[in-house]
Amino acid sequence: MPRLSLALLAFALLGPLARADHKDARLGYQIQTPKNWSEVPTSVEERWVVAKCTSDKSYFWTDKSTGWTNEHKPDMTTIAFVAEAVKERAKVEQREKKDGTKEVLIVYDSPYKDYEDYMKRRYSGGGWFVDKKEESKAGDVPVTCFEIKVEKLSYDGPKHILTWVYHLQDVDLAVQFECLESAWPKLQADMKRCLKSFKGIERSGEGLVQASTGESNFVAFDWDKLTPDERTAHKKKIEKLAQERAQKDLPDGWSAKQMGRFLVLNHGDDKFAKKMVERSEAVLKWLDTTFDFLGDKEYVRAPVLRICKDSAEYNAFFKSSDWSWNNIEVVTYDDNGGSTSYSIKNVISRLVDIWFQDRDRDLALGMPMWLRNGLSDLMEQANLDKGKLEFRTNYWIKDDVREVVRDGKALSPRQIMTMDAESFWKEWVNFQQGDALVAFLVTGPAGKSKLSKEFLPNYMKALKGVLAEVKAEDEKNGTLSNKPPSTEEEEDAQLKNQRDGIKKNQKRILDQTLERASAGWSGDDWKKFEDLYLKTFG
Amino acid sequence: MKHPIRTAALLCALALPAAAGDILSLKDGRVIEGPKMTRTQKGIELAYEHGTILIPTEMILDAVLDSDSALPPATDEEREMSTKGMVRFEGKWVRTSQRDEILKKRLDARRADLEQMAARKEWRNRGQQDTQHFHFEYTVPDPIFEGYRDLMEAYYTDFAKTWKLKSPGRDDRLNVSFHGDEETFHQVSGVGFGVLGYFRFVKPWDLNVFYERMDPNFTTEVMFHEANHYLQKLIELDFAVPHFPGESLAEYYGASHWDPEKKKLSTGLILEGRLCEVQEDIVKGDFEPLDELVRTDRDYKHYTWGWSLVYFLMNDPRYQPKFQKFVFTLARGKGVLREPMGIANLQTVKGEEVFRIFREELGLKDVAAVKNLEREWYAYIQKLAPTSVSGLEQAGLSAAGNNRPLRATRLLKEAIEKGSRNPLVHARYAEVLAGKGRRLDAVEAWKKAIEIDPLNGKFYSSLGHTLLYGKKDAPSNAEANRMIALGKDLGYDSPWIELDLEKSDEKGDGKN
Repeated sequence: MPRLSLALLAFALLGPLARADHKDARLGYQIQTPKNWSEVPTSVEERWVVAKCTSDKSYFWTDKSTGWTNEHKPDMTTIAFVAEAVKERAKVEQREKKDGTKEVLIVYDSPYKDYEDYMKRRYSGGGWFVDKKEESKAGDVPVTCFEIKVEKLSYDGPKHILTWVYHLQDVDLAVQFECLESAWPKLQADMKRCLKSFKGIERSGEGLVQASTGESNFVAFDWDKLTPDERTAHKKKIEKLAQERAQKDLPDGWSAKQMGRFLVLNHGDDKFAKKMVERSEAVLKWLDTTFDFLGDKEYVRAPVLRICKDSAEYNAFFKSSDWSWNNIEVVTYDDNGGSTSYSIKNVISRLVDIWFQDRDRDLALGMPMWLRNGLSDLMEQANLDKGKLEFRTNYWIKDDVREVVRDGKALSPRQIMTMDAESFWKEWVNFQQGDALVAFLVTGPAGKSKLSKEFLPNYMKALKGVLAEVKAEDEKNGTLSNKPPSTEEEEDAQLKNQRDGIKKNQKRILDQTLERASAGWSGDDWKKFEDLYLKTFG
Repeated sequence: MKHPIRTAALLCALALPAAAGDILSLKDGRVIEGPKMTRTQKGIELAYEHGTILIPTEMILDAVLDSDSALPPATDEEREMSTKGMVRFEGKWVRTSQRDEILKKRLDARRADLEQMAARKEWRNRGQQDTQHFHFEYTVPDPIFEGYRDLMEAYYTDFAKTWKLKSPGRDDRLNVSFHGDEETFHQVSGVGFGVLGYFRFVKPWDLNVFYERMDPNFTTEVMFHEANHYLQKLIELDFAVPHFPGESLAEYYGASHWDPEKKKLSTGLILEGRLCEVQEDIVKGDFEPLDELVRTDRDYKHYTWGWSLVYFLMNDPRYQPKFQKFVFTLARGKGVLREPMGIANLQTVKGEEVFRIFREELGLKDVAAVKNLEREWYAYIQKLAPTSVSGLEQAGLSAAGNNRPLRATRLLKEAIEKGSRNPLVHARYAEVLAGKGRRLDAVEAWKKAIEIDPLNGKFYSSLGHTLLYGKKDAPSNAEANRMIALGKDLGYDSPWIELDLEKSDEKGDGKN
């Protein structure tokens, strides 16, 4: 065969194997990554995950029992486990504040002992077990090699995990590849080649355990006893830290830009990012205006908006992530759903949560089911049209509610507004009726009627008032700290009272709030209102 | 007369290769390796960094220890013969080297068995066995597995007879995955905490349960419950029995009892844990209406009140055939509105239709008839009470979990006085006592829990924390801190137990 052809053939064979190098000076290593695999940003809340990338190519698996086909992109994750001696700083600390009160900081830098501990506590892709475990070496570096199978209740299909844990000084680094079991025969050679390419390099940069001021971590103190200014200061610290961490080590291809009140980290389309920001701003402005009476001195944290390139990157980012009150990063991607996209709805829903929690935490926690879910659904349907927020009808909900109306089983607005949580949970259509009621109040005829156009703001104000009264009475009467019973009969009676008390309080909150919100409404007014509501379902 | 200790020691007389290490197998299925072990009169002592732990003989299934060495001759005759290179072995005088060789082979075989038992813990090394109706995969030791295997076959036979099931084909044989402990159950089966067992109802069928060594009755209960879902499926393969009566019937059969000696299965017993929950509701004034219970599609109360309803109906000869007919009608009856579940061609029945069929089959013609049955049911269950030690245990644990510490104290104490050997009961009793400020009583209760389960790291840690008084580093707290450290030696390490915001601070200045 001519030399040129041989060279071309060699190039053609070697071409697909050429890959990028990932270097980390802080931890002191470099490793090759497979070609056409893209780096994925890691969550700011998971500092032990030091690198992630996913394949650009998808693989598929069909469940024979259901006929469903699932898509999966192989990924590579690097997790660091810091030695105990280095973790000594990661302990419980108490510090005394200027006013003499104490706060306790729990600092998590790397909460997992080792790779198996990490898997046991974090892996959520299905039931798994170690199929092989052996000791080896990568150059001079001792390595523990794992092959793990994910079989029972596997998400996306049975999977294969290949992990090498490199034992460096003070730190163990686990480099984990995950793919569908059906894709394993094709991919294993390249994965093993990457793992063998691991090299230790000289360390530089910051230490293994990042110095933590503690603000980003769990802090236990009495939130209610702080002044609005103190709460604002604390929230701003969280916000600043979240923004700093989010921008740090941003992989290639990502941009970081302040857009309005959001720090936007974007790996997707700029047009989508702009649309997302504009819509989010409009939603928050609407909440600011409509409920300006709620927590007007309270600061609402500005979320970090992270826009992933696609669903695979989005899913890879969320693998084994945690919820935390301090986590104000809202993640999304363009699912090409246009104005009704699910990913945008998820962002809006999260923004609404943050807004209410930050403006009035007690109200956010005390909101009845119908209102909490209804507001969330309403805002998710809100779209920006020519600079104006336009609320669209959720036809799925409207159709289901129409059915119960036709069957004569629909709840009246008063029934919806006074239904306790336990009853709500009994039927899914109860939630839908709650959503429909909120839509009716804001965007439906109720929002235009002289009688009811201020109903929702009035309801919120009334709710706030009733919640505050109930809380004050509980504290005064010692409901929150009962005298301990001395006999079983007293204990049973107390338990019953507590249970009745909770139910009674719930009922009181619902009934009194409605009463105050509709103060001055006559029987006729209610009939008009309820007839108007039912009429919207045709 | 053979000295039992000498005989046992002799069996381990040879020094094993240094790399082998000591290995101990317990009757509850655990295999312990790692700490240095020494035989004593009362059992085997395990040496950890912060203390030694005695495992009493009655807990031990088998052990192979490195530390044993050949016993010195005990009699003049033995001393004289030993100078000639002879020893007494199994009634005969043999050369020392001959005895050593025989023992080595036996020890190696036993060690291999124990190591296999230990290795079995890993799912990749699981045991597999086919029986007439099941395919088992298991990580519990064989002696434990065998009991449950026989129990499952007997259960199948009994249910099939009562409910007139046909034997499934080979392809429809249920795969039973029996995990050695709760942690590996969650890990390998893929379900989250809170789920105690599950039956995968689309093919490949798979039943996953775990062995709870501290409460084997619980293991049986969950196994019976989950297997019951499979058995219900055999009534009609393409039908998914609705939440009621499905879960309630599964709970009913969860209370079955298997006597391994008489090889007898008893069904229709009281499920004491659920009875406790129902009783807790009654104390709070929460009586579950019959119509709501039956017509609600999914409700936790199907496990509690639902169980009590099925128990009431199945234990009354007037209602039992009608209730069974109700279940059959749901699955096979004509004129029943069945709807697709949207998965694997399965159909089911929604709550309102379930209630209609229930009324029809139980002959409840109107609201008054439903209310009458409801009253009968309430009256029946209010007469039930836990009677066994197990029942007292359940009632006590339930009370503790429902913020009724006075009742919990009484019931747990009664269960303990009547001989409870459930370490969880003693542990809970200790917690309740500590919660009421009875610190020294709590210490005694923790010690009792440790006596029953001497390798439970959490118990040592909790004992240590209960013993702590004043400044943590004070010399008077040396034993307390040792217990906490011993708990860590045993693998217990919870960051939350270190975080005690109620305790005196480390400065010992009295501020809290």
